[in-house]
Amino acid sequence: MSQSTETQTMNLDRKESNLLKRMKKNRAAYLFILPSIILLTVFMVFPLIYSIIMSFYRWDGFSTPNFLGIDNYIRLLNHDNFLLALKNNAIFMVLFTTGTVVLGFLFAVAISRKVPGWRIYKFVFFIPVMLVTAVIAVLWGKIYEPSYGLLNSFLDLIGLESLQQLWLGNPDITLYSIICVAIWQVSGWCMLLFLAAIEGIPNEVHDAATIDGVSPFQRIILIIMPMVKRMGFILVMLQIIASVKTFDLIYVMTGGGPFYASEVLGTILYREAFENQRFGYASSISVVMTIIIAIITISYLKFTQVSEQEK
Amino acid sequence: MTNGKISKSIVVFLLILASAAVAFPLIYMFMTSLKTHQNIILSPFTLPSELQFENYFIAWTDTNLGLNFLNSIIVSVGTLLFLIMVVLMGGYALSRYPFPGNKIVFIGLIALIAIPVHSLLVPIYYFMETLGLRNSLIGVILLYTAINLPFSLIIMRTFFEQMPRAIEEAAEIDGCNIWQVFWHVAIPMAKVPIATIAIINIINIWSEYLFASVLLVDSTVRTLPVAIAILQSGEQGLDLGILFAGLSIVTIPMLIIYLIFSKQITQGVASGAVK
Repeated sequence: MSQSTETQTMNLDRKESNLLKRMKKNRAAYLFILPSIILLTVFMVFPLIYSIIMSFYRWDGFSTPNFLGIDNYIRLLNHDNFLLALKNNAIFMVLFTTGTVVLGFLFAVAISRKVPGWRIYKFVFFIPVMLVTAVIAVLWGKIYEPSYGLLNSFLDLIGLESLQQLWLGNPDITLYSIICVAIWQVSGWCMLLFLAAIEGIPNEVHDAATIDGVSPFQRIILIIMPMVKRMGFILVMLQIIASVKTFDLIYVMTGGGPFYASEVLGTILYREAFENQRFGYASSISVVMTIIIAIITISYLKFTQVSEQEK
Repeated sequence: MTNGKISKSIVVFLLILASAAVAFPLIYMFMTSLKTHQNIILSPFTLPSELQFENYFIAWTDTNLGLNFLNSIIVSVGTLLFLIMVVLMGGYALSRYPFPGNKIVFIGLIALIAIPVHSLLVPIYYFMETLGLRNSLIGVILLYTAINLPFSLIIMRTFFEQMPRAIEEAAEIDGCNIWQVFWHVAIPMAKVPIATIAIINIINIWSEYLFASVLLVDSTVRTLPVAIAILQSGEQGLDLGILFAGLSIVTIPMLIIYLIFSKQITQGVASGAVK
């Protein structure tokens, strides 16, 4: 105990010997970090706290807020659209995550084999990532348009009129039509990240496999998959979080309709806040979203820690 | 051997099919933007008989997309410049100075990355309204800088952590003060992370819809994503030729950037996401 105090005083002495310099340096450091801190506090930390507080009030943005306790949350659980949105978010999550990660992986494996023209495929697959989501929503809205839209016209052209659908008008299939567009938009991004991971596999591993005479299929299962497992986990988590947050695409394409068929948490939040002026109620939805994402993130971090300890 | 060749040609065939599926909607968009409304409805697949560049002209002037384009440029460039300045300073301080509170800031950044921006929407709308920053491009620039800060700061901090300090120390010995070291030594070294941060963020900023749609309501301050969504539901969007010309106008700048910087963009996105 006394020893440690001694070393502490020694450290303090040493610190004191260049205290002036240190203070000067740290003062500069605080000045350097100050703009970041101010921006993050004003635009993120403070609004977040405010949002949590508002979720316990009834408030239209003008009159004095009424304290409700947890009433907003109880109303949420009894709100049919909220439960429907949760279900839609879950469907979106499963299909979107599976679709983008699987397609991204397959594209990446194919391109990594440097088949003829691989640069072109890589270039093309990533293009949708560069596009504005609102543009994609409007463009696909027109492609799905039932009478002159590209998809139904094409089905007509090849004699498959029976497959024609009201892609965004039939409540049973609207959500799936939208999910297809989301997969179209994001698969290229997953491909790029998988490709980076595959290119990180040392050449010796591939050479050794070639000498051992593995088939292309074995190479994928036995070599590439285990080596890109970590990237796979990261992508799955990021896509799950993106599914909880999904908003632009659905809102611009259908506004959550028809008959609330494509409603998700993001669209209800938006409508409750900016069409119905229920700021408190909308805040409670945003708190639920934050909690869901926090749970996913924490369990992911726990999971990766465990799997890293196992190594 | 032949077996391998067959499997390879199947792979190539599937890749070509997939590329076509990805590219075709875009080709359709550009093709359609040069056709007349009647032509689009009657024969969606044919090439334009006469190139209707007029569509672009009408979209640019009559529907105000020209002004919205300018707003988008101001917001994107403004945010990037401001963001990079703030990130350079903050990332440098976080990695080079173990000041009291450094760890807390870093942990806070990681926590902030996980927060969905939706949870900030209502309060930020209200604050901006109260501060008179609604319908203000400066307000949006500040906001976009803030919400893109946590991730960018972590990239910048990681970069400086991996950089040896030797050059900066040499400069200090030569009598440079901390500002001079930062300006003349640290910033020139950080070209790669600056490019990565610019690339990752420009895509988000150019496309941002959620906040822009509630903050930039006045037709003179709208950015392109908001303008295009409004154009679709409005009267002028009924003319498909004009609507598709509008979609193309929003898309072309990003495609040009992608054509020129595709290598840097693919590298930047890959390295940025891993961290």
